[in-house]
Amino acid sequence: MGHPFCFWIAGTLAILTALGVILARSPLYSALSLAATLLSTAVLFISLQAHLAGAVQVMVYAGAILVLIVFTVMLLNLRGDSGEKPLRPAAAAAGMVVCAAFFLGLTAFFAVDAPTPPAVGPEFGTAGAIGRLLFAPGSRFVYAFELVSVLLLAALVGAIALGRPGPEQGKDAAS
Amino acid sequence: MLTLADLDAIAPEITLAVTLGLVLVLDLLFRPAERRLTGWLALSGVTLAASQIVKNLAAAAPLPSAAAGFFSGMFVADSTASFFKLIFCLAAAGAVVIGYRSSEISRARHGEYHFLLLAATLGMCFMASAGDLVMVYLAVEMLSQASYILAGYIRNNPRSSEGALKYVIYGGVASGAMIFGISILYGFTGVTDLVLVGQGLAGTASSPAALMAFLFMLVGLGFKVAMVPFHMWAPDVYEGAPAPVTAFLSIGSKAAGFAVLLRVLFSVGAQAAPGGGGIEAAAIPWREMLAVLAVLTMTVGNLSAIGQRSLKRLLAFSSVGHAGYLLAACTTATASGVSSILFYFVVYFLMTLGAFHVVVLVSNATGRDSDADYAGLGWKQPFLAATMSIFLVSLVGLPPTAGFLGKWYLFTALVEMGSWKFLLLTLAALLNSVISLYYYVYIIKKMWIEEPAPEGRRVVVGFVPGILLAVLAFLTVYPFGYGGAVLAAASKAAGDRASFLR
Repeated sequence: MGHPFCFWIAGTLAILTALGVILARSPLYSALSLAATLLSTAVLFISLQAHLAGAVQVMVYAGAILVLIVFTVMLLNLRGDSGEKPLRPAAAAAGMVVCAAFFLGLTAFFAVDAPTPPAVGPEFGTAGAIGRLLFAPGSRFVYAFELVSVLLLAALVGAIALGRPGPEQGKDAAS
Repeated sequence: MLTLADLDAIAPEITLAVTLGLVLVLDLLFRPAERRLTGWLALSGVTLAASQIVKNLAAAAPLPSAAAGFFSGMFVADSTASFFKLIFCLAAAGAVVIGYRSSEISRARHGEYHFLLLAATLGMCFMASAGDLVMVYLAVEMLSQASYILAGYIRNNPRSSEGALKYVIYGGVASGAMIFGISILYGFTGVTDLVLVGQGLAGTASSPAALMAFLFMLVGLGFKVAMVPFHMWAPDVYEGAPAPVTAFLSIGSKAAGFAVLLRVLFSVGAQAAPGGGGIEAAAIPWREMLAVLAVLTMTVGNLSAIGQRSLKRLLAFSSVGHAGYLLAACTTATASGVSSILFYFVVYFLMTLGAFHVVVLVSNATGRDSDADYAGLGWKQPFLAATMSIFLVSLVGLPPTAGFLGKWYLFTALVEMGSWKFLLLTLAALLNSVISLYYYVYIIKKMWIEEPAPEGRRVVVGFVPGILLAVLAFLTVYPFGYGGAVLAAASKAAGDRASFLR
């Protein structure tokens, strides 16, 4: 467990920037807030000794995926309002009430005798331990790892099937 | 460690995965106009997988460690899972056959259509066999990813895109909630194996936090089976998706959702009793929760179906209603409850595939999907209208159709429980069947009583679709020839699950 100070700062930042993602008017600011949220979460991971999860969070999410989002926003020139109406006050209030109730409910549920999580060793969550879980011969997660590859293949083909322009459309109409 | 028994158990999945790869390669070799020929490959792959499943199911001695699981418990190949897998294979084969001539899928995109169908089927099979929280999540995602794409498969059609987009957004929220619940369960117990999670919770299950985690998981699974209040995507997706995909999703996706729901409920919910006091003592009151959700689901589904003008939307809400009946049967947690669910899915497959096939034929001819197209169909095309009437009557559950037998077994399993709570649940289901009578008979009335519209076009029924419809209708209207055998197989398969429960 890292320093509690670290937890409070990174946690507060994560929540504030997450609010920024949904409240910012400009898509670009939303994307940048998301980057800040992901980075603060990475700090939380690292303070919990989950170094690999933290590093992956920075490299994959804050790095690769956000760059893609920012590129898309810039290329499509989505600056400022997209002409959509601001949320009605009643809807916004209802949303806030639901969120607050959800938050309080969750806190209450966890405050009332939550089971104590089992203790973990110092190795837990480190890159070495995760690597052994995923790839070591005899590890049960090898099988799940193989399944992920099929899942990604399906997602890839699906993305191409949806995104590919259809030059054959004219021919289709004729046949 | 990997053993030969592991490979034997997973053979159907390997077959599906290999076929999937072959379809992808062949698709590139064929010219656009010929790409739908990959359907034959997909069909033979599914048939081969089905034969392997039957072999596993019919093995005189069940595979060793069938209930304990293969691949160190990641993959459970008990006979209930195998039975569900057969239903998935049937649904996939049906979607290939109906999709072959559908005008909604363009010729050049048939290869990818078959690829995605196989990927979804593979995801379903893994769902039925998931023995670990990680596998549950991955398999559900695999099915979801493929279904999102299939739902939006019609190009330049705003409805199809809208349905797919709603599906993605709702699905993303549901799977987010599910992985949240899974992570809390893992945090409490430190294990991901379903049985071990249940045992780990046993000491602490009175904690509201465990209940919360369980509820979060239920959101993700409820989304898959279109349980109220997570059913909102169903009408839009069913309406927008190509009809063969709709039929596939309404049967396969629902069955897969129930397969994994049953396993999670029975292994996590039932074992989470202090001292292992069986299901009656389960600290998470999942039976009561599920019973309330079941009544809500059937009532909302059936009431919303009334007044729908689009046949696909009507069938979507009706499928929500059917999910309610099946959820009610889940609460029994007995072997006869599970076997009645298995039997119902076979019946549901016959009548839903048939009804959607008629809808495909009619909307292919008219280019739209409205109940006005069915006015006077009985006078113009008695064969089409007669088969459709049979499917609708069976969906209501009137004798002597297969739907009646299915509902009979569902309700018997409920009544057998003996307590007044279950009688109340049965009563709610019966009342709902009466409500559903209204909107199904409305279509039948339209077909046989109303005058045909003068500009109405003739629906062309080809040779193969005609044979398929006739066979489906015959099986639906005369279930006595095969019903006993199917029920025996279902009870044999469910008995296995019951042993898993103890």
